[in-house]
Amino acid sequence: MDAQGNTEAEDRRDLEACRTGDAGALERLYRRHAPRVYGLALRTLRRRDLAEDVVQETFLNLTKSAAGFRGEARVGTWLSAIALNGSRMRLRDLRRGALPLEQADDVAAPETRQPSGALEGALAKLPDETREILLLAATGVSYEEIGAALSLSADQVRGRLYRARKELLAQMWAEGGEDA
Amino acid sequence: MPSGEFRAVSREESRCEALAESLSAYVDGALAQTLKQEVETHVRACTTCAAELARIEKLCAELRGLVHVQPPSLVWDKVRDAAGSLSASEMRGNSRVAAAIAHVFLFLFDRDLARRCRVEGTCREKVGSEHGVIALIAGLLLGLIPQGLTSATPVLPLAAGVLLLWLVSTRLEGRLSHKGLITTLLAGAVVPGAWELAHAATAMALPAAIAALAAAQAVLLPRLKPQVLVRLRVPCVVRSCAVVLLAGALARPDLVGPVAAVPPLAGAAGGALAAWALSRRRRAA
Repeated sequence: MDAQGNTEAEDRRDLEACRTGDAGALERLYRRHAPRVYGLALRTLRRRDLAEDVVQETFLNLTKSAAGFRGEARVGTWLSAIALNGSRMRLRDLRRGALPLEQADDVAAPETRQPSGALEGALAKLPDETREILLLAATGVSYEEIGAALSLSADQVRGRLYRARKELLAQMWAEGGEDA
Repeated sequence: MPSGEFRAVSREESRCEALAESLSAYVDGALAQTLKQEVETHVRACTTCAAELARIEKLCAELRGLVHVQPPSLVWDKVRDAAGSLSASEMRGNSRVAAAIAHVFLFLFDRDLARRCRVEGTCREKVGSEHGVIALIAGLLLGLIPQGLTSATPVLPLAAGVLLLWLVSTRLEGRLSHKGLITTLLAGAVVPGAWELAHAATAMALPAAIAALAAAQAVLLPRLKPQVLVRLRVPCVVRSCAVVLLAGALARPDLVGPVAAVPPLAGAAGGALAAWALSRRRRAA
């Protein structure tokens, strides 16, 4: 579960360097965390252009807020929470029709296509909260950190995650694509 | 079905139900050691739960693949450019504070210069030399504050450079004003400006303008007649307020609301207060 644990010290050092305007430190943080930030946004929004905006916004927030980072969560978790917030806002705008629709479902572009298309389809049909907890758990963070990002206790995360996985499996089964 | 066998099956099913949630947490490595062992023991004996565990493990592996996607390289270019602009914008914001401080400082000196020329008839060359020093200090402020005094700021080289120019300026100013102009320009614009230019060209404009103003004052004001200097008092108040407010407006266009107005307003208020205090002093004298 602690796959990024060994990079946390590097993250903290680079975040400290970002406060002094070190562009190299920002790039290192970007290389380590952008794939997860982009993945979270992409699976939430299913739009490449909007997911790219979320990545840009997340790392700009990092440069602006580096001095305010209190170190209670890991840097990666902090970035994931920023990315999820940004994705939520854009999703809300999409549903209100405040964003253009012509590029909807751009997620199926070749470089982002995954072998598990049924999983993507089923994930998209889940309620937002259910999808968010599944995606956050997939980033490899602890229940406590997921709880911190979603304002839940670790026990609540455990229960909700169990139900979310059941729901996702049921959804995949219903679509006939579940071969797990 | 014999009742004993029924009870055994029922107990086994309820065990499966009790551990269902734990299977999910087991995959995440989030179980305490005793519960983890209990799950492992149960899964070895129960084919249904073993299959369920395999399904969850496969699902989680696929989800992990879904949330790690390399963004197009263009995205990093955008992040880098935007972060650079943000940094320049913050520097301009700091420059605005520096401009406010430096301008109030120069404003105070204007008042003092006018008073001394009129009341004491101080030697113009000496006043010019003092003004050069003020411009140098303003240049130092402008050079340091835009960097936010971070560890990345080359404080010592910058301070040493300005000190050297200050020494040269004080020696030359009394004799040749155009050399004083050159040194104050060097100190006020080139030294801090070169450092700023290395980071963001846009951040240089405001400090350079203020330094140029200081340098122009250093040369022009001592040449004016005392009566003219005294008459300049009110226009100087207006000019100081206008420059400081304009600096605030130009320096940080992305900051809006009351926060953005604090440094320039504080500078303008300080300037006005200083003008009032000095005019009272002059009247008393």
